[in-house]
Order: sequence, then structure tokens, then C-alpha cells
Amino acid sequence: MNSALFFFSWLLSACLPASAAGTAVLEQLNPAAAAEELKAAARTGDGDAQLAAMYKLKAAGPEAAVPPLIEALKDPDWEVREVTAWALGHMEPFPASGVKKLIEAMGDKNKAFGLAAAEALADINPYDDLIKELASESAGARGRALYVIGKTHYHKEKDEQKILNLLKDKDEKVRENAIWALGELRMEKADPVPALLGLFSGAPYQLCARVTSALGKFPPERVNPEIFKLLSSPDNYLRRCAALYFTFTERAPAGAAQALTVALGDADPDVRGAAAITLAKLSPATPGIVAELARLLSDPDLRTRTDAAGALSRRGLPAAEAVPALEKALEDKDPSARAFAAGALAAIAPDTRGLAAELAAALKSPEANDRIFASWGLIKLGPAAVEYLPQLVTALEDEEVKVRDNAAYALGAIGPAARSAVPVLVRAQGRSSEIYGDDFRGLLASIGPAEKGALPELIAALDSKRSRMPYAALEALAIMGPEAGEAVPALIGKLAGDKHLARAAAGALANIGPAAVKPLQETLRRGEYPLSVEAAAALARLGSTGLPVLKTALEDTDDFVVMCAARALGSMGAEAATALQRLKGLEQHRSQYVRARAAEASEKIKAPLAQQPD
Amino acid sequence: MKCFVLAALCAAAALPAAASTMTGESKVCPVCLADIFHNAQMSASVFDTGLDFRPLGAVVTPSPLPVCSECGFVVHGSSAGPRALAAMREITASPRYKALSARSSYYRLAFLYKKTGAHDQADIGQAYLKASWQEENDPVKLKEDLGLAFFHLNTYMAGIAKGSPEWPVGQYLLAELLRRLSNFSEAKKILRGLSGKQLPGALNEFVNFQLTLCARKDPAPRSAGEMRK
Repeated sequence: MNSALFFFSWLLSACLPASAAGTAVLEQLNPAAAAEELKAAARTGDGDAQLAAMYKLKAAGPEAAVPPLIEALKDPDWEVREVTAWALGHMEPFPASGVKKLIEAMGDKNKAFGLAAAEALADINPYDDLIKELASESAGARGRALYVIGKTHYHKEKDEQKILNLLKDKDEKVRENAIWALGELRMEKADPVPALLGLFSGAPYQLCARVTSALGKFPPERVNPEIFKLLSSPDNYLRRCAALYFTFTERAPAGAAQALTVALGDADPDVRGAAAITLAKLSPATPGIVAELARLLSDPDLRTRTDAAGALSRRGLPAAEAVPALEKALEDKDPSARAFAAGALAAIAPDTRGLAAELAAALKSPEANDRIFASWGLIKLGPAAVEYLPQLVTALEDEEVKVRDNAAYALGAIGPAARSAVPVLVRAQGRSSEIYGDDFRGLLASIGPAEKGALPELIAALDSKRSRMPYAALEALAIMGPEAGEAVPALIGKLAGDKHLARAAAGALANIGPAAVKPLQETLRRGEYPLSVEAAAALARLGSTGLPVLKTALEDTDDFVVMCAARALGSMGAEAATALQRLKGLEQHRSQYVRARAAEASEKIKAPLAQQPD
Repeated sequence: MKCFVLAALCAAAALPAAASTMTGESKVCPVCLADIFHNAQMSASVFDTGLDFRPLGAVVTPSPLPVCSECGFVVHGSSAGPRALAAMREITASPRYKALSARSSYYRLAFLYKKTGAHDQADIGQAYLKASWQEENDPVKLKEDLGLAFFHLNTYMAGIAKGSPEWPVGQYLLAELLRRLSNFSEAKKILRGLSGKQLPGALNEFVNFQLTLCARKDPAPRSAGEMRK
């Protein structure tokens, strides 16, 4: 350790996970420069550098740090906006002027800036300032404050009525946000259910879906009995909204499917439609659903059309009879309706002409739901989506994680024809993704080895600051097998680092095979910790190819090399049976530690042999 | 310059709180290559700071070190070359090291630091100070730890220029160690030399509190929280 750092290392070593906090406060406290550093670190995905920049901004003081950070929220790169919102959440105490600016920013023409401002406000949670905004003259400010309060999932009991009253606001957008926020907040004192149910009366489909979606987040024991009552109401609107409710609940109670089947025979077509949408989820085999959903595909209301198409893509629904209606919906004037119809067709009739083109076009939609559904549809198309490989590769950089992940799965479903996309898939793993471990391995396996030309990029990815990217690169290199021979030195370099990374590197080296043996042998003979230990382990993973090297290493003059080899041979079990004689020879070794490791290895090799039948 | 600014800041303000979690991890002993299973501290919540800068709160201090149950080696550092490994093997096998098996891991670490010669007096002093945290319930061992921490830190400070930014914090720490060793008059001498000077962070506050403690002849471990009460 650098002795100059020793005084504070007592503190840091015990309580801080990284040195970032430490180094940050030492630099010149220039907030604009620190904000630039934060942006640069966001672009490279360097978590340590992000933390260091954030601490610098913190040390500069919130008053000075907040303005350049708000400016950074306008960056066209979504990763920069995301990291900046996170950093803003750490500026304490957050200045009231900053809260005002962020609330204003939420209404900016630049939608991405507005959304990032909302994210930042949710992280900051300036509750008292937001509650004050609810009384603002500006409907925009009221609505935006409500939205952020909903996002924080936090409120004070004393403000419950104030929030509830906004269901009656004169502005429609404020009312919509109030409905949504009530679903997100868990009110203790006030009961928003009667007020929300009251909105069903005369509600068009959009509003009905909005309210039922919010109600779906309340305790079912509170809402379900009310819904059952409404299902037999004489009011068509009430019956329709009630029929839609169970689409938005996690689990439907006993009797719900039966009641909805009755509603499927309702005299009112809107009630029948809502029942069909819900039954497609609860009981897809119920007769009559598909015809109702097909009818809804030409409804004048856009949300009804997209919900119907979405419902038709549900698993288990015998939706073939809806294909003509869905094909017709591909000509809908609204791009969202076309995207949803194409997605449903991809699930039901993937051979439909022009489907891939429609779905690929929808990947560019400004609506996240369109892109999510379209990318999901492209998975269903499998190899037929190959023509739209470039669009899928672009979608791997989408700001919506679901779109990125669906695009990755779609590439996996294309198979070997998507091998040129492997480096981009590896890069995409460096961003946040819900595709982990075995799933990612499986996805890469279905594509198969990357092109040899991808090697330099994959090797470079091993040193990426994005935490999951080196792992992804190792997986890709492992699949390439002997083709990845050029990567051996870089892989050996990884053996000395993080334990998990070292294990994955050993796996890739094992797959490379004989070309990795000599460099691994040289690394073992260096007698360094932990490099030689891992090199021996990698040789063990090479099986019979690595065995002779390990056996030879038992005769090395360096005790450490001998111990590494013995340890690795033990891990091979019965496969290393031919090494037993040499290990026995180590029983008389001058070093007690060598004797111990040799004896341990012999035990491990013999144990499975003893279990083998004669 | 850098370390002193931070030391002062850390002492002045509460550190960021984090969840207190321990996690089991496996390691390989670099000396004998036996497997070691060790409970490592992943994060902690620090609410206060000792006058010797010990973090206080929902935190295990010092951070636990992996110790090999087979050869007794206290694992430190992330890599080592053949020469260093050979030296570690020799030291670990020596009767002197084996005789230390009842001492704390940081005491043994300090011994390893001294014997390998790869660490300076500051590192050795730091290890002894941490050993004093581990052995705080044994007055004899505690006194030895504090004494050794003082000795090595003092040796380190002898090479530090008076105008250096490291100097006041180092002097402060020497005074704290002297107070803990009940050498109040020597501690006061150092503290008076610091008193009234513009010191980094909250060090002025610490110095004044130390002077009060010396006047009271109080050798107990004290914290910034007590100082501010």
C-alpha cells in the first residue's frame, strides 16, 4: 500500500466498497468538469469512474452540482441520462430551485429529457416540494408532480385526501395521472376504491383500462367483491369495465372465468369484447373468445384494437380463425395497431407474408410498447427474421431493456445466420439486461461460433469496464473453440483477476484445446499466485490434453508449481489415475505442504475409482 | 496532500451508510494451497468514528482477514511472485510465527509485513493499530499493540517533513496513541503543538477534545460522537 494513503485506509478498508469515494474528494471540485467526467464514464459503462465523478459532484455541493447535471439530462445517449438521474438522486440536500427546474423539464418538448427529469425526481423524492406543486396553477405542473409521487411509491397519510381530490381535477391529464398514482401508492387512511369505481360510469375503453389497471394493484379482497357485483349491473359501462378488471390482476379468483363466460354472451358488444380480452388470459380455451377479439380488431378505438391483438397472441388460444382479421389489421392506418397485429400474427401464423418487414419497421416506433411487442414478434419468426438482422442489431441498443432483450432472443432464434451479430450481443450485455448466465449461454449456443473476424472485438471486450461484458466475451470465445486461438494470451491474463472471470477464462481456454496447452504450461511454471494456480486448473479442464503437462509439473523444482499441479490433478478425479504413481512419489517430499497437497490429490483421484464397478 | 484532506473529511462527516452484510467466500492459501472458507464483509453501516479513526456502527472492524487453518498464513494482497511466495512459506513455517497463533490476525499480519520487508512502517503501524481493535479486551495485548503501533508510526513520521500535509494528522494520531497508553504529558505536548493551527477537516475539534481527555487523564477509546455530545 502507498504509505501516503495509510491514514484514511483504516476508514475506507472497513466501510467503503471502493476507493472511488476516497479519490473523488481529493480532486479539484469543479462541478462542470465532474459532470463531463460523469457523462464520459456513463458512455464507457465504467461504474467506478461514475461513482468517483458522483462523489466529486457531491463534494462540490448540490447548489453548484445540480445545474450542470440537469443540463446533462438532455444528452442524446440514454445511458448518460440514466446515470445522470442516478447522480442527481445523490445530491443532498437537493436545492428547491433544482426541483422546480426538473418539474419544468418534465414538460419539455424533448421527451427523453422530460422522462429523465422524472427519473431523477423519483430518485431525489423531494416530497414536500412535490406536494406543494399539486396546488400549482399550472395543470402541467400538477400532473407532473403527481406522476413523480406515483413513481416514488411514497406519500404521507395527511396528504391522501389531497391526492384523491385530483381525480376530479379540471384537467384530463391530471386526472389520468391521479388514477395511475393511486394505483402506485398504498393509502392507509383514505380508500380510493369507491372513487375509482365511480369513474367507470360512462367511461370509454381507454379510461376503463386505465382505472382497472390501477385497481389491479389494490388488495384483491378489497376490489374483487365490488367487481363481481358490477358484472351484473344494468349499466353497460359498469359491466364492461368490470369485465376488463381481471386482465390487470395477477391472479383471478375462483368464479371469475365463469362470470366472464356469461359476460361473453352479453347483449352489449363492448361488454362481450372486454370479457373476451380478459378470458384470453384467464381461460383461453373458452369458446367464442377468438371471434369477439377478431371483431374488436376493427374497433374505432386504438387501445381496443391493440389490446385485442395482444390478447390474440396469448398462448393456448385457438386463434387461427382470427388470421384474416389480423391480416386486414396489417393495413390499419395506425402504426401501433399494425405492430400489434403483426406481433399476434407472428405468434399464430408466422408464415404470413410481409410480417417481418412490418415488425422490423415497428422497431423504430417512438412508442415503447410497439417496439416491445414487435421485437417479441420477431422472436416468434425465428430464422425468417434474418433479412432484418441490421434492424435487430440496432434494437440491441434500444433504451428499453425489454426491446434489447427481445432483440437478443430474436437473434438467437435466427441461429447461425446471425453469427455476425455476436460482438454486438456481447456489447449489449454490458448494458442492463435481464438475460443472465445460462440463458445468455443458450442464446449464444443457438447462434454458434462468432465469425473469426470478430476476435479482435471480443478480445477487447475482455477488458471492458462494463461489468458483464467480459463474461459475455468469454462465453462467445468459449463457443468459438479452437478458432479463438489468438485469444489465448488475453485469456491467460484473465486467470489472475476476478475469481469468477478466471473460471470462465479457464473454460474458454479448455475449449480452445491443444493451442492453449503450451502457454498454460509456461504460465504454470512461472510459479506466481494466483496465476499458476489458475493455469493448472485450466490445464485440468483440458482433460487428457492437459494431463501430461500436469504430471510433468509434479517434478518441477519449484514447490509452488508442484502444489499447483497436484491440486489440479486432484480436481480431475479418476481421469488423472495415471498420475497416482508420481503423486505417491511425493509422499517423501521435503515440504510438508507438497506432501499434504499430493496426498489430498491422490484421495480425490482414488475416491471415484473405488466406486467404479469391477 | 491527498490523504490528509480525506482523513479530515472522513473524520468530520458521517460516512455513507450501507447495508451491513457478510458473505462467505472461498480462497486458496498462497503458502500451502489449501482451500480457505472465509466470511468477508461486503458492506456496512458506519454511524460514528473513533478518535483513532476506527469506524463505529453496524460494522466489523477491522475487516476480517482470511486465515489458513492449515498453515496459519494470514492472506493479504492479491498476487505474489515466486520470491515473495518462498519468503512467505519460510516465515509461516518458522517457530516464531507459529508461536503467534493465539494472537489476532492483524498482529500476525504486522509480523508478516515486518518479516517480508515488502511493507513500510506506516503499513506495519496500521496493522498493529487494527490488532488493538481486535485485542481490545485483553489489556496486556492491547498495550503491546498500541505500543507497537506508536513505535512504527513514530518511525514513519521521523521521515516526514514538518511542512508536509501528512504531518499534522500523523502527529495527531501519535498523540491519540500516547493518550491510550496513558502517557498524557507526551500526548499533551504534541497536541499543544497542533492546537490553534489551521488543520484539515474536523481535526481542530479532535485536538481540543484530546486535550480535554488528557486533562482528565482519560485513556479510554473515545469517539467523535462523544466529542460532539
